Amino acid sequence: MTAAPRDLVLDVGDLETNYYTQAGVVEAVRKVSLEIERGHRVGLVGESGSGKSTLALSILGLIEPPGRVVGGSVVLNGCDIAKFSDRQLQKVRGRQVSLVFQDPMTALDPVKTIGAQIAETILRHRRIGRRAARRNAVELLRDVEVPQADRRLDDYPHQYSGGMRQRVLIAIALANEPDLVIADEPTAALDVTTQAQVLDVLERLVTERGTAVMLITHNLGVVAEFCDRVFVMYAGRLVERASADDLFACQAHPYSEALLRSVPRPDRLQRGPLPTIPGSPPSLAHLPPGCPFEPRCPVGQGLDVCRTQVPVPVAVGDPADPIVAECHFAQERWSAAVGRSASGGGT
Amino acid sequence: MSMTRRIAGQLVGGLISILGASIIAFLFMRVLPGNPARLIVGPLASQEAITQQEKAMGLDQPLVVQYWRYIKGIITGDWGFAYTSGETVRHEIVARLPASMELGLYAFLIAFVLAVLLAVLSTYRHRPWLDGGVRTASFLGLGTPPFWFGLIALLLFSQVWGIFPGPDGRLGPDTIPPPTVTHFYTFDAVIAGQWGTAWDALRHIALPAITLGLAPWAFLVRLLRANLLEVSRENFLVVVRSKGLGRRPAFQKHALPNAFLPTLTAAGLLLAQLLAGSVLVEKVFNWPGVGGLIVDSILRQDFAVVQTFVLLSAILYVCVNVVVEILYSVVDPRVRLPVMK
Amino acid sequence: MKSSVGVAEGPEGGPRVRAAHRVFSFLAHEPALAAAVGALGLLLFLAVFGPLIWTKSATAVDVGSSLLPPSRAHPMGTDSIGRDVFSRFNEGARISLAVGVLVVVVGAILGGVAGVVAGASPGWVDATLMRIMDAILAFPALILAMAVTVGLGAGLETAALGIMLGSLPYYARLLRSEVLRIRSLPFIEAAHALGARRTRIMARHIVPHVVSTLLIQGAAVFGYAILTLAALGFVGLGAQVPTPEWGTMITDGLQYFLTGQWWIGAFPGFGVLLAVTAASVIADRTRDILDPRGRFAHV
Repeated sequence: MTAAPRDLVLDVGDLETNYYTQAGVVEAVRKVSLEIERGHRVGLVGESGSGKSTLALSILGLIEPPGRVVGGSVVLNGCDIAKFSDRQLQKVRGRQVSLVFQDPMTALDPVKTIGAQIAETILRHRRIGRRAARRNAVELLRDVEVPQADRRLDDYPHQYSGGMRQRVLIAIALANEPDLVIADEPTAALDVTTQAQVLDVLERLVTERGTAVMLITHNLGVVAEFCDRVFVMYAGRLVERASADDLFACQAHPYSEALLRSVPRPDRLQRGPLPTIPGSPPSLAHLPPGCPFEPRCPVGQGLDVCRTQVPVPVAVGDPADPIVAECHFAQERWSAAVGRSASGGGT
Repeated sequence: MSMTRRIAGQLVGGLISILGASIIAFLFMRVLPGNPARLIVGPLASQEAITQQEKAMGLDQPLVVQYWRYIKGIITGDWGFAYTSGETVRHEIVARLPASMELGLYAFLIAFVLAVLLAVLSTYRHRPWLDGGVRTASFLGLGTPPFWFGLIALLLFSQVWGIFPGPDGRLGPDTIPPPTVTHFYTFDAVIAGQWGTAWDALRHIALPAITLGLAPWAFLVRLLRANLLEVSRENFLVVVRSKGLGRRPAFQKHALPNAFLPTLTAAGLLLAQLLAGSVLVEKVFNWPGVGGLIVDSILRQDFAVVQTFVLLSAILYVCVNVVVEILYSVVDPRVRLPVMK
Repeated sequence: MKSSVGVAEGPEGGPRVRAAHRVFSFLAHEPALAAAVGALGLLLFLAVFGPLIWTKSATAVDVGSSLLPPSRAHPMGTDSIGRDVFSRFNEGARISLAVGVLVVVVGAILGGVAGVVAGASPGWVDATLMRIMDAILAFPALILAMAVTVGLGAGLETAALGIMLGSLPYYARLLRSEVLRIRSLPFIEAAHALGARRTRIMARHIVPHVVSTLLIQGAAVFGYAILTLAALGFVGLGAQVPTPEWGTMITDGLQYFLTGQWWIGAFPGFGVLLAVTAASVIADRTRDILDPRGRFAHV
């Protein structure tokens, strides 16, 4: 029963972030808790607007007005950095935890060389000379497979392709060997071939260095390949959390199931329209009283309990490594799924 | 398109514009009622005297020939005679140009430095009071007629409070101009070590420079502020902060340079306009610059002066445009270096 | 806040009251815009109704009461030959506002058409039109207006013409770039792909956007027109004696500034300031509010 004490690189507890706008208070992150073990890779999945990027920025303390982190703890390597001042956080960012930003076309300063931008993070956290930093930067460029690294170091961002720029962002994030890298949609702006390339690079580097990764994406295929654990986010909350294997085998939360089903399968002949999740996510400024997914939920739509009561997290499955889902029907769904696979029916 | 080709294109386009402006100026002055020959020989002259004068001035030639002579004259430096004063146009303009340029330079410096200062202060930290104040002031600055503002400024600062001298031009009545080096009194006085003269020159240039610089300041501060705000929302600043940089280094090293680039072009054009002198401010402050000359010339239909001045300012405008373009392509790597893959 | 549906709450009194209420709550959020509209409204009121309410003549000479400071009988004092400055101010308001509107409307039409034609036409038409515009731009605007007035005879009408001429390139360049930009926008292609005819595309998609751009540029030109008109009046071109245009009034007051009778020149200058600033604020705020990205709507 008592598991060995887990070495957590990140332990987020009840994190809450609000945006105070003209239209009202937008609750972007609503008491989110999650843990990441050292060296592990977790995926954070959800639709646009679910709060994924806000969560990432909240962890790093980069939320600017009109947004504000209003509660919770962010324990990084044992320290609660949610309580840190910006000055203290400056020592942590880029060193213990770093961010790979999502849009390579706008994530780099257009008037500074690539080399300068990589060296900037090195020089920020290490007392080495500029020449040493430059050599370091060339090394990093080679690591991320940029050809002719020593010459391309002095190029500007607009002279790089999108895929190359994304890899530069990875290089910047990994420059100081952080314990945790948060990669926010690192492949969203790229075509499929480049995506694969970028992910390969990322995979290789984090495996080499034992870096933990939080991969934020809406691409479930990437999650399946890359991640050990998955967190599913909807309307500012983590509605399901499970190991990757468990999640793909059986989805306790109807949203997870719907997400998986909406992935087009090129290997299967599909007749009729592509499956989608009808409707759209609720406005985070005007949340309904019950379960936020209810209006679109194939299971709970229209049901009283779903409309009026907020679901509490329910742990199902293996007690040592449970699936935790916020659904009134989580237990039934899981049992049903187990029953199905036991009786031989597969997906 | 490579940089040399772009610059060449700019130059050609500029030349065409200058040509067009020269034609317009030339034709226009010919269209004016009144006969310049008559102006020279006086109202009592006989018809033969007038005809003779016309011949001497080449006014009896066909327009195209006249235009050609005019263009040739411009290029060779023969800019004709100012009919009202009898001096060559060139002499008149050159004598007054430094005064206008000195005024324009100071006006620009005041406007630029204050604009940068206030734009940065009001956008760096969220200071709604300062921000609102700056915005209001900039609107008022754009809407104030400069000549009226000069008068009010003279009234308050010179008459009522006595801080600055009245409108007696570049120097007080008792001050001798410093020995000529640059033709700029403030610089020349400092070079010659005449501190009293330098101070007097500065005191005299202060009010007109502030008056002239008010509208440019308003324009620049709004532009820079808008650019700073826009750049502050850019994604790369988030990335810079995620590297562990503080707000100030992020602002200084990344936000400011990116916001300054588009402001450069506007600032360059403003400088050109300011150097060409301000007609009305010069009149209010009795500043012996080109502007006053032009107004008088227009009123007296002394078309040689106006023609030349208009053409010169057109040339200046085009030149500054080209210089700014070149500067921009040097400074902005996106323009300087072609995209390679 | 009011409910978004607007039926259950809100004032009674039918759709008109509700619309007025909406306008008022909108203005309450925009103090700068409200102030600017108010200022222009005041000037407009003075221009139109001033002579009806304040019946003193703007041109009647009364040397006996010359150079009187502001008082109840003469809210803005009297000038050097005893004319009432306040009624001259109102007349001046009428002239400036009228010229401003005229210049803007005519200039927008001419310059706008030129720009649209340039943007929608093949290379050489475009190039020729734009070169003409550049040639106009190369002239300092004030000098251009001055030259026109001197050439065609000083007066209000020629001044308006000269000012309008100088404003043409701004409209032309603006509209040309708008046309070029819109032509290549994907949503035009999309509308085309959906089968919409060209005229329909023009009307429903291009025209509204172009009109709003023109309006905003027009508001800025309005301010510039009033300023330049006053400048021309100041040097004696433009409106002629005894027409009470604000610029000429400032000239009248020129020599009296430093001798203590500041009111003769100060009030008309303030009128220009008010009119031009209000126009700029309106132009600026409208542009921000209409920005489809809405980012700057409340900055």
